[in-house]
Amino acid sequence: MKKAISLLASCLMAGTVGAAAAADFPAKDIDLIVPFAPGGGVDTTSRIIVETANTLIEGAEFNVVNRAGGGGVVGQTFASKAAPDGYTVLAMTSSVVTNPKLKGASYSIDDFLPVGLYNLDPSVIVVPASSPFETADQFIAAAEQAPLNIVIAGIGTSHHMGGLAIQQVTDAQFNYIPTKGFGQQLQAVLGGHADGALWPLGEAANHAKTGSVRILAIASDARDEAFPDVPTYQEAGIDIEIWATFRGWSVPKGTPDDVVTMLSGLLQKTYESPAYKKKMSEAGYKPVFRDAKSFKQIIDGYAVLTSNIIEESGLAK
Amino acid sequence: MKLPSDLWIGAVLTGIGVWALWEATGFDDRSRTYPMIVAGLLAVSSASMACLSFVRTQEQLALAGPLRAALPAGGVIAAWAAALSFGLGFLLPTLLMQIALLWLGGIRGAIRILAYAVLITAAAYGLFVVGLDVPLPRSRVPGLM
Amino acid sequence: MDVIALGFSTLFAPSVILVLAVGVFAGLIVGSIPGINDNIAFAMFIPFSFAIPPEQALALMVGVYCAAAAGGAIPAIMIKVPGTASALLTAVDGNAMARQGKAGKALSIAITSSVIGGIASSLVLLVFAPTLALFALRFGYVENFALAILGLSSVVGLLSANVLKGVISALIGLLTATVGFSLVTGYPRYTFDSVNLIEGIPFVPLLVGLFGIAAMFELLVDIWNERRSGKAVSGLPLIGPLKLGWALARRLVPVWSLSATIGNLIGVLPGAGMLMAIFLSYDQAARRFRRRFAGKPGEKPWGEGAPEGIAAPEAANSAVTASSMVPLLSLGIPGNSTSALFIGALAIHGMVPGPLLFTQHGHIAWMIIVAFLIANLILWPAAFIVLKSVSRSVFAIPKEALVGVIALLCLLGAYADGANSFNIWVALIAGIVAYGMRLAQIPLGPAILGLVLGPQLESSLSNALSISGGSWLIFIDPVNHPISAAMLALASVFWLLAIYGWWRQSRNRALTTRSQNDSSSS
Repeated sequence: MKKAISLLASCLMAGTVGAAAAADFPAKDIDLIVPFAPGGGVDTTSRIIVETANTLIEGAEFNVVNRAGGGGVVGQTFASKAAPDGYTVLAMTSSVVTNPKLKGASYSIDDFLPVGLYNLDPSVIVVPASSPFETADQFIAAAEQAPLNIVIAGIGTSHHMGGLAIQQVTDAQFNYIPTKGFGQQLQAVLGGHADGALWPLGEAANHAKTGSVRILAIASDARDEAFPDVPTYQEAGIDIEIWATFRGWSVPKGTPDDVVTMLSGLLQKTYESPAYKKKMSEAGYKPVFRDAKSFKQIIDGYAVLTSNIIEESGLAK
Repeated sequence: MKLPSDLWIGAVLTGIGVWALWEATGFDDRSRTYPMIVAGLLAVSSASMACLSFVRTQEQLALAGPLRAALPAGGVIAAWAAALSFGLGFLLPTLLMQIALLWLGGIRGAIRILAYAVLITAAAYGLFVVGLDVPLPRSRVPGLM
Repeated sequence: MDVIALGFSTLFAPSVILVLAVGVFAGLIVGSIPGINDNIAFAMFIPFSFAIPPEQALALMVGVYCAAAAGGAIPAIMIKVPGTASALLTAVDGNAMARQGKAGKALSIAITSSVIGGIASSLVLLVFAPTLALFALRFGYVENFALAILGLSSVVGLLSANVLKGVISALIGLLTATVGFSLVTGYPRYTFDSVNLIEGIPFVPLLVGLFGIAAMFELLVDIWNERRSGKAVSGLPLIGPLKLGWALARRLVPVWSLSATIGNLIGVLPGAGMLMAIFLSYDQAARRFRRRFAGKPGEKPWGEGAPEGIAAPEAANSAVTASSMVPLLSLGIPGNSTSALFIGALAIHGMVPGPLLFTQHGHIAWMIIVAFLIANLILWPAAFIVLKSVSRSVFAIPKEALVGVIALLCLLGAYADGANSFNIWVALIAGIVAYGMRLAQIPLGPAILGLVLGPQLESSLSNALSISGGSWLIFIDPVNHPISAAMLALASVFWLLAIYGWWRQSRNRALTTRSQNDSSSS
């Protein structure tokens, strides 16, 4: 009923909202649009953030709204068309950058204003525990002799493009095995039905800790504290500095600057909470924070990297 | 009204199969083989079903019920979906849809119909919006939920 | 043994066991409302699970998961509208039996079968989890292809009436499943440039339309026909006494054991799911029924109220519940889409399923395992309480008013999956198509199986061939892929038996006509 009343109230006030300044923001609940189904990585991280963020704001709270469909495009399009008043925030992933080219999404990356980044997930090369490859060198050398079968989440996904990037800088040959759903991919790797996989570190980490898979190299500029023995791509002789998917917040273009600053500050305060950091790490997501400006740089960098790959491999629609 | 259903349904499905087959020829090399095989098989088996209808005698299909009861119900639901997507809110279109469906279902008496419709609409609102927290489509008419 | 005791001691904290019971009741209700299923219920619940301790959150989810599979049978039997997709086949014999005035008996068979299937699967989870998880790992792309073929072949035995229409139905399902971006290259197929179709036709609205909206149309036309013929509209079947009887129970034991075995095996395999389990076990039960009981005095024909037709799918779908947790808990691989949501619920509490769960959070892992057993023990009395109280009052609603209720529940259930109006249209069109197929006497079952297995069929085929370098022999390679070879052999046995059956049927028909001709000419 609370909802019904606030809905009615917001309908009646619709005419006056535009004029309202950021001083009284937020005056009502903020929708955090998760363009994926409940239970996935974006949904889980969003809910962990919202749990802490709601203790930090007064007078309103964040609601996680799942708008799944079309591989994220449905919810992302919805957010791109939402009123630019700060009350609709998109849980933005790297797919927003590539979807206009790969999936024919109607928005463009410029329709969103970055707010802040909360998770960077580098790509890793993974092999089953039973694999003959102990190091990235052996793996790449074998792939130069004959193509290796590599499990990926799908054609045109970030990690598929990461694999294409490896092929550009080395003579390795990969035969991509697109497998929907992380569970099915895990089954293919653990069961030894493929030679290896390209995964986000967040998903690979827990299985590497139990020893069921081995991480050969990590596409990051520094080694990960949890895996100090795993070399970065560049240390392993693969000339790629960073290949990472990101998760962050963005708002529709046209949102007032002070509202963006306020949301960005809120995300930072959330990040500074020890309970939040603990929960994110336990769930397998490394907590980081980048403000709107450096998030924008990361997005732009990713756009340049991927557009090269997309052009050269003919993935564009 | 009676029709040899196997003939025209077979014809419709053959049409769909042929269309899907033709459409699939435009896909890239690796994506087209499988849908082409499935579409081709659908076209062939539906065509045989249509042809067999000349040989086999079959019971005639009574279409009066479907046409007079199911078809209007489909129309009512389509109108409701259109109203919801257009942004007429949830409560008014749903109430009208329930009134129409109850009437089609054979309930008579204005007060009874209205009472049932209000009850069902309220219960659905309670279950989905209040209980399950489903965000309803945005209403573009102020005051309409 | 210690660890199992640890699981029990965690579960039997008063608050946890209470929440488990609440989950069972909630699951029965959720399952029995058409348009809402355990997936939607979990999506609603996951946000709340933040606020409560992980023991309680997971106990509640286990309760809902177990009970929803059983609850789906209630509306399937009473009004021929399956509450969940897994009660699809239960609606056939179950509703036929209810219309014969034996609704109570049908419900009792369904509930008992569910409990038995559920307990069998909990025991499998408790005892054999590590062994079976290793078995599941042997399923690669080659085996998954063979499994899809086996699943599709399970319906041929049921197509005695009109084989061609069954094949057409399966092809409709397979073709519909190709809509969306091609997994192999990402090419958009039959998407009409709509972003809503990128991942294929949204599955939940599609299923809701195929069995919910179509059933609503059928109900409406039934009422219309009754009214036109001048009769008073017959009410819903009365539930009546819920007695099962020892003789019937003894008779169903072989069906229960076979269906529970099938359900457990399918449940352990990632990506197969409840629908495949119910079709495979229904087919086996039909074979047994034809051999042992068909045509005997007092026996209804198959599809018109045979008890095996209720027992087999209900035992099988409940047997999928706990067994789908086998690969999830031991390896971190979800057995189906519902068990995948447990990953989300665990992640919220900072836990990840897989071997680490047992070392780091052993009490939670073992609690989940024993909770499945206890949930099924609670389910039995709970189901009877729900039937006696809630269901009795719900089904006292006049049949005419139910039309609107079912329509609205199904449409909103479809919409709720992503809060997308597009889904309403999907459900409506799917309902019209399914009703049209019913008018044309094209069976719906093969189409649904085609829809479920189509993507797996295509992707595992292309991936297997991609790995083998284009050689088709891998599928029947008895050394490297014995499981695939065995499953394909079994599938061909299904086909041969069916073809033999059709041949004998048509010969008998020819013989009867000839003898009739002979007698009339003499």
